[in-house]
Amino acid sequence: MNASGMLVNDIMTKWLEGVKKSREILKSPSTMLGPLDTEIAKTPYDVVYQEDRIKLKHYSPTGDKQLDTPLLMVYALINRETMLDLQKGRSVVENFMNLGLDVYMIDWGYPTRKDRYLTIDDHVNGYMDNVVDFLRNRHGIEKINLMGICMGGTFSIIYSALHPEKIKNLVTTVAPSNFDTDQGLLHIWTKEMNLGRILEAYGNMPGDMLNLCFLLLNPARLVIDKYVSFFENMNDKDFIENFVRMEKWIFDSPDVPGETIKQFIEDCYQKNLLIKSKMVVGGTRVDLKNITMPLLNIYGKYDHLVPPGACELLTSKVGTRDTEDLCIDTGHIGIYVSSKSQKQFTPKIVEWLKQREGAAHRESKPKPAKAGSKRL
Amino acid sequence: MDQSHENSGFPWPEWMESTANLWLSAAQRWRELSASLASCPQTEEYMQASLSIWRAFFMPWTAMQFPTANESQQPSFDMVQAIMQVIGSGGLSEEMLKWLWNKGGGPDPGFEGFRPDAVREWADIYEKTVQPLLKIPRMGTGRVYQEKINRLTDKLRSYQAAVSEFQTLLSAPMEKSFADMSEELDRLKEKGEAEQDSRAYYGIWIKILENHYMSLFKSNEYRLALSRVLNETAAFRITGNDVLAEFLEFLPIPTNKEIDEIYKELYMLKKQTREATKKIAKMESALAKKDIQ
Repeated sequence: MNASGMLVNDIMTKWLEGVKKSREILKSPSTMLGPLDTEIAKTPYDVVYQEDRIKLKHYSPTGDKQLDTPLLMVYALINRETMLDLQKGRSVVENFMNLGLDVYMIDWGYPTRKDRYLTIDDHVNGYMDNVVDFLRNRHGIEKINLMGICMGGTFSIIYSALHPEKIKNLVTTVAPSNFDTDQGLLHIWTKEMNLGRILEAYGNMPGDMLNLCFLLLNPARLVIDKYVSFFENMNDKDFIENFVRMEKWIFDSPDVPGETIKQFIEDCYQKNLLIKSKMVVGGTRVDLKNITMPLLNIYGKYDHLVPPGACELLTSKVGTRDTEDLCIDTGHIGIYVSSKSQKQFTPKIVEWLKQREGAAHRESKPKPAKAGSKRL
Repeated sequence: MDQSHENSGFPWPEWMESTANLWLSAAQRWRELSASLASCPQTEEYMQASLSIWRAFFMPWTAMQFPTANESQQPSFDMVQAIMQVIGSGGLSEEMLKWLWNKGGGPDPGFEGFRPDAVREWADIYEKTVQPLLKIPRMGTGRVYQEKINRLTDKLRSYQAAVSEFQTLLSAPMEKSFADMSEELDRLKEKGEAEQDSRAYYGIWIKILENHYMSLFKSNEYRLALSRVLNETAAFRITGNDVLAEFLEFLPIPTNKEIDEIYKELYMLKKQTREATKKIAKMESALAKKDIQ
């Protein structure tokens, strides 16, 4: 047998040992068969507003109340907002509550076929605006703080440009605004997509189809390596619980209303109208110069879904001079769930909001030579 | 007529001969039909090679019935070999696979050497031979139903072709990663850097695989194939829905089209109501202010 053959023999022997080990793991008093805590989104909340399929969740502060202005979080229509409350100790919501914030979060629910005609206008000028008005009345204030996540961040940018009089501070997190970049595969793939046919066939964009697309972004890691790790750690209860929680979130994928995703792909991904202030929503042009409130723009350095190139232009296009870019050394999901990020992400936002609480628009504040950009 | 043939019930030799003639005829027409295929004179050889697989596949049965001096009875081995060949190659001969992957006699080029045009050339044959039959004008009371079912058959073929092309593209990085891993193992062994831990080899392989997928996903071929598979999936579903709707017409069940019309009306009405409510609220507020003044 040649050298290479010997090596292959060695590998096969090792592989066999691995198989035997796996069998032992499967036979052992199995963690998988025992009680597991895999529930997600356990932080208590009240539903304070409801409209169609939309719910507004309210999380009261547990620590000393730090801000009078409530924070409204707007998640994407893709996947669920439960990612912000994955588990105790890995929960953005819980961190905000502990830091004394009055937090509200929109739950977009599960769109059905009857929602297929809902547009971005219906989501932004309809549901979001109604929720914002509800909060303004509830708290007796003119403006609220708004935080958008991913596609919800794009919606928040649009909303803030169309209704600047209702927003005190804007926080965008991994929110795409510039779509003309080849840093992310989604930006490359969507160039050729004709969503018209898909929506004619399905009505809405099926969540399963989106999931498949996301898995194809990196099949080596997401389809193979992830589950190899799972089998290697089948005796580790914490690992299994975290793994299953994440699986629950990843594959809890509502369909996306047809007309909304169509406009999002065509106007944003294919024509890149938003960053050029040429996008039209509800008959009104979305002029980014109307964003005159302070803006904190956070994104992930290793984000493969919304790469830095899709986020970092925003601060240079808006009307306010009080802007800050923050690039964190993590990915699209890690920014919300990694333990390292947990220590940086929420405290930074709370501190930034606190500095601006009570302050009027800081339009007079001189803009730094370069928009404040920090890398953690 | 041969006695054994009479007893067997099924005329295997005639069937084999007619199948062979069909394949040969198709192979001969192939070059005539497609200008693009004319530049590939080996096509007929590939068809012949494929035919030989089918012959090998059926040899156990035919040989048992017609044992000759040249064909000894070894059905089990022949059959297993033939089945393995057919299954392992997805029904294609080795030569045909080489042609698909543009391998020729040269080194293995991996997915960069994949010929997406090969899949399209197969589609071209279908479009020139089978598709016209499905598009023959239908007549009579069943015309609409026949047309819809033929259209569905046609779309199913297009959908399958697009999925095949897409799957072939997706499997290419895997093939390439195994080839690269083999080279990497040789290199490590030569340098005396062989790892003891199989996890390390797995780590190397998964990284190689990831890199190959990344270069595939950034390619224009992949982008177009993805777009094609999505469009064909949608087209197949739309046509299928159309056929289903015909059946639903016979039942007291509304079709999607009918429900969508109602949803659209409902959507428009709700939108108008919301706008009107907002306007009324504004007017009431303005009136209230006037009253106070």
